[in-house]
Amino acid sequence: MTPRKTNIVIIEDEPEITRFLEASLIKQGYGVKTASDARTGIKISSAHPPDLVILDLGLPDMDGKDVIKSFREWSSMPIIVLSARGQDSEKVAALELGADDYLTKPFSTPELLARVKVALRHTMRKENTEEQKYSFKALKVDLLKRQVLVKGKEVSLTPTEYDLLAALARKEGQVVTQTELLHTVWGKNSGEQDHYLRIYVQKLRQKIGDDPLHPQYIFTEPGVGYRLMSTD
Amino acid sequence: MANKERRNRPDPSQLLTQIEEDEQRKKRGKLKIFFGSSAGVGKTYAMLQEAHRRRAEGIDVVAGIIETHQRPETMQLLEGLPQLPRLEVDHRGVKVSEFDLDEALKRKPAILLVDEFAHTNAPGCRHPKRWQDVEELLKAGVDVYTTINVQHLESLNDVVESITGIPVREMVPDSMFDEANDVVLVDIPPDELLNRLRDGKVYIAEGANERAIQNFFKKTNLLSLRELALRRTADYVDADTDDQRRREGLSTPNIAGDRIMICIGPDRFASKLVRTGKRLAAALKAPWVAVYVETPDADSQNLRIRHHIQQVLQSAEKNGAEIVNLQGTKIGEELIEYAHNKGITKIIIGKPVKPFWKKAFGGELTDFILAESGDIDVYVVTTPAPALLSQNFNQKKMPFSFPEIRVSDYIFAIAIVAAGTAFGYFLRPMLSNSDVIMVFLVGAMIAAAWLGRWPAMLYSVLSVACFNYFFVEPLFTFNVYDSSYWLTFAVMFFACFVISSQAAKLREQMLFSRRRERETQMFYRLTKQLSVARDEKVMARDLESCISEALQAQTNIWYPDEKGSLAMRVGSIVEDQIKEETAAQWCFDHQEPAGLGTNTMPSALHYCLPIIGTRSVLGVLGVLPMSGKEAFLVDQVVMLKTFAGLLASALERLRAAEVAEKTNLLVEKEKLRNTLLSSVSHDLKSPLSTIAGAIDALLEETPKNPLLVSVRHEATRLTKIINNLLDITRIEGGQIQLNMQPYYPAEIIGIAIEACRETLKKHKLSLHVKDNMPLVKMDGLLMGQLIQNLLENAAIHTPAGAEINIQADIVDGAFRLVVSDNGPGIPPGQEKEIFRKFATFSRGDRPKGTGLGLAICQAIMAAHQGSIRAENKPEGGCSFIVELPASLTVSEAS
Repeated sequence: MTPRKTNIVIIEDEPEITRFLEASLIKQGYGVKTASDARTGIKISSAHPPDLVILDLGLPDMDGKDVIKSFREWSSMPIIVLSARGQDSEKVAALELGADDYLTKPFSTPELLARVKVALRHTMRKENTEEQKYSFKALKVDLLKRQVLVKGKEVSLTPTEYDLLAALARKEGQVVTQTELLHTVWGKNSGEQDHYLRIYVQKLRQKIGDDPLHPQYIFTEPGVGYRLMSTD
Repeated sequence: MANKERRNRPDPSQLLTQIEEDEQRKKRGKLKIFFGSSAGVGKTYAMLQEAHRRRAEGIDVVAGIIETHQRPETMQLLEGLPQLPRLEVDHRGVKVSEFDLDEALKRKPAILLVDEFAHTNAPGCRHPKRWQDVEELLKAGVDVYTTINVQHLESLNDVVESITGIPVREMVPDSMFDEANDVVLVDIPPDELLNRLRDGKVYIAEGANERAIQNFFKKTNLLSLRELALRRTADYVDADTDDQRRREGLSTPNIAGDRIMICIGPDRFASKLVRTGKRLAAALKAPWVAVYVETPDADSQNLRIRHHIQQVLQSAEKNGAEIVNLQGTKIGEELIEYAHNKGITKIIIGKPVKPFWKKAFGGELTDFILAESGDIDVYVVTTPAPALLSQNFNQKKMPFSFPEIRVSDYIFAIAIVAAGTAFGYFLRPMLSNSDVIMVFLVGAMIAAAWLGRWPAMLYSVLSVACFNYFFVEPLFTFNVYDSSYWLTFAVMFFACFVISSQAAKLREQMLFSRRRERETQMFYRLTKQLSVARDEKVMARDLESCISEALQAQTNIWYPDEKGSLAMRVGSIVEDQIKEETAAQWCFDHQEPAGLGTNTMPSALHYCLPIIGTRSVLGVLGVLPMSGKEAFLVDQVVMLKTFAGLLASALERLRAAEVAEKTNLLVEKEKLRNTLLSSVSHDLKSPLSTIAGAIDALLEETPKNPLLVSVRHEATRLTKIINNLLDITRIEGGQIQLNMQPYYPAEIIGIAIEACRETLKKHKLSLHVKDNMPLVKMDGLLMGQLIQNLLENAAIHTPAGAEINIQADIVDGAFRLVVSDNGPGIPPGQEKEIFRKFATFSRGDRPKGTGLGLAICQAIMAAHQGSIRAENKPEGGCSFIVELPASLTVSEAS
């Protein structure tokens, strides 16, 4: 445990969900504040900036996307959005505006806790830039040496394939949207070349020995993007 | 030069017509005509030889009907060709064998040989003429080879007759000849033909007049006929060349702007006018119109004359003329006005032989037209004597009769004379003879106005006689002392005649306009009735009463069922119901009138008229004249067509209203259900999340508590059900927009397997996913869900340990996924049912699943325009086959 208590703000209008989220998080030792609408949520957060925000996209008083925008004006703290089924496009928009991860309702508590942990770890890594290594099961990526090892053996990737893997590894455990991947790997002007992305992910999967039918490392999030698995 | 080329390019509308014609042609069978100048040139022989050649090429050639006339060469050639059995028709106790059209349509060969194109069928066959049989075969897409002699072509009929002096009754409309795909001229020199005749190689009909034959087969005749045949073939080739040039984009040498009008009247050269019009129109490549002016005058109203005119107009229409029926009192003025309005450039008119007195009073129509035609060319056609003779058969059928005689009218005329005489006689002391004449003139007016032209004529004669007998010295004799009275009689008769004919004309006009008014009123009433009628039967009854009133006819209306057979009939029953129904069905199928007075099944009692709506035929209107077998006349047919049109629009309105009502109801029902579903599931969802969350929290403390584990499990199941409900309402409510992106099918299958890991724990999953499948566009989330639903469905309905198989492949460019199991399978016959909402089948002891999983799959596939179906495997178990359209497969991207 860090010396200071990690604080989380839950902005959610359904009291039942708030209640069990709060209980689960408190049990894990987090400090929790809750708000049932966006304005209260923003007020609480700006008064005492939390370490993480859990934000429901379907709030009664404000569009979830606007809430994210207003947070991103002054903070880079992780934001995990909760979306209902059928809000897929909202969800992608939220991620592109700077939300870190998402969960689709209904979700299980362990799932949420894992996402919270991953998100908080990324904040810590940003502060502690030495940690530039990704390792999960037999796959190891050294982002400084640009080296990829599978079961201890070096795998040779083309620059594009490596860039793709690196972009995923930098956000290990979190979803990376298609647009973000395209921009990072092919540049801002890559447009909507979704099939490039699919083809390169396919090649990458082949080289690191990841079967799309039984993926271990790279998970497809249909309509959203990809997620590289991590411990937790 | 280049400029000129461009100008000659065909205009788009012409090209469009061309394309439409080509389309028609593709479906239509091809007609090949073996054409000769006379019997004995070897047409049938040539046709059979050609048939053998085609047969040798492996084409299905069948002889429909061949008249070998027992000639050995021909009979020999017929060997080796399959032949259709002939239709035996019983005609007045004599068995006649005819071509069997139905058999031919059933057999449907590639090429059918039908000899003697102009043959007239025995009564009782479907069509009166064989060329009509051929027409139907062509429409059915059968290629036909046939033979014809030049004298049987309608337009050359009178020319041939003037050459040979022998009338020919079997005629084929020129349009059939001109629209043939191929015409083969079979030609031998006249000397050779005469040799063949001498050798007995030319068939001559039994019982033919020996002298007529000798007259016909004269060398001069044969030369003329040969020339005629050659010229007609040249015309055909010319037209064909034009057609070909048009096809290749070269403009035709067209004499532009001509429009021809022929004026059909109640005289005997109407048919000659049609033939002349047709020939001129063909030569000038100009459109032509056949105009008939209906007048209130007695001739025009005579049933038989109208019948004759109807036939002439029909034949003109068959030959490509537009038919126009004008109404008015002055024929000449109507014709000239029409011609000027419609930009007619050439008028063809007959030169009637009128009695001198008619000429004196009525004026000559031809003269009027010549005087008023202005810049329009006028062609005056006369009928040579032999052609008049050839019309004899027509005349026999319809002698020019007086209008129906009503005896009472004539008795009244006599009564008026008697009354006038009595009046004059008793007041004689007070009246001079000139006063008496005035009295008689008044009577003439009364007679004409009340009784019509002919009773008034009788009146005129009788009144002069009575005046002489009762009032002129010596009284009570027809003798006259004062010879100046003869002049008085003449003047009196003339005055009576003029007064009565003018009054009669007025009366006729009045009757005419009264009839028109009645018709208008009737149409108005019917329209009103139909517009409020709420079902087909009521409509049929409304129409029935209208027709029975207007035409003294019975009505039957047939409505089709879904399969297009006429199942429902409203109306009166007649004896030979099967024949009537066959005619009605033919009419329905071909969208053309049939039965009484038409060329199709004329022996039927009904005149059948298709009720044609904007998109389809809605039924058949059958009308049965009470008077018996007399066919309907032009204006009656026009009236019936108007009736059919009114009924059609009323029916369409009714159907549209029905459909709208049904859809509305469906939409409302669906909306209600969806609202209910989504509100119920929303209300269930929140408490369920709380329950699930709370249990998760509790499970952290006591992870192994079996009660908590099972509550958690059930909560998950409930959540799934609710999500399914929400999903289906969203997909079906159209609230979901597909997010189509390219995916490798394997990754989507991977997601589904991952999501079902828990559910499939106890099953054996075997994967046959093809390597290196191309990218396929789909909504990844929904497709993942579909596969997941199929896997869960399989898991639920099979016992633990059962094998679930996923097969994925690209078949014919389309992505195809099969999820199969070796469980108990689907109850037979329920392969479609299971995709319905809430269709759970207890394949075990209790229904499992939500009854929505497969419905969702179907909705997802529908949104993708793909397909999903279920089938039982022969070796047990069932498979679900999902196919996406091939258009969604992304071709190998670079």
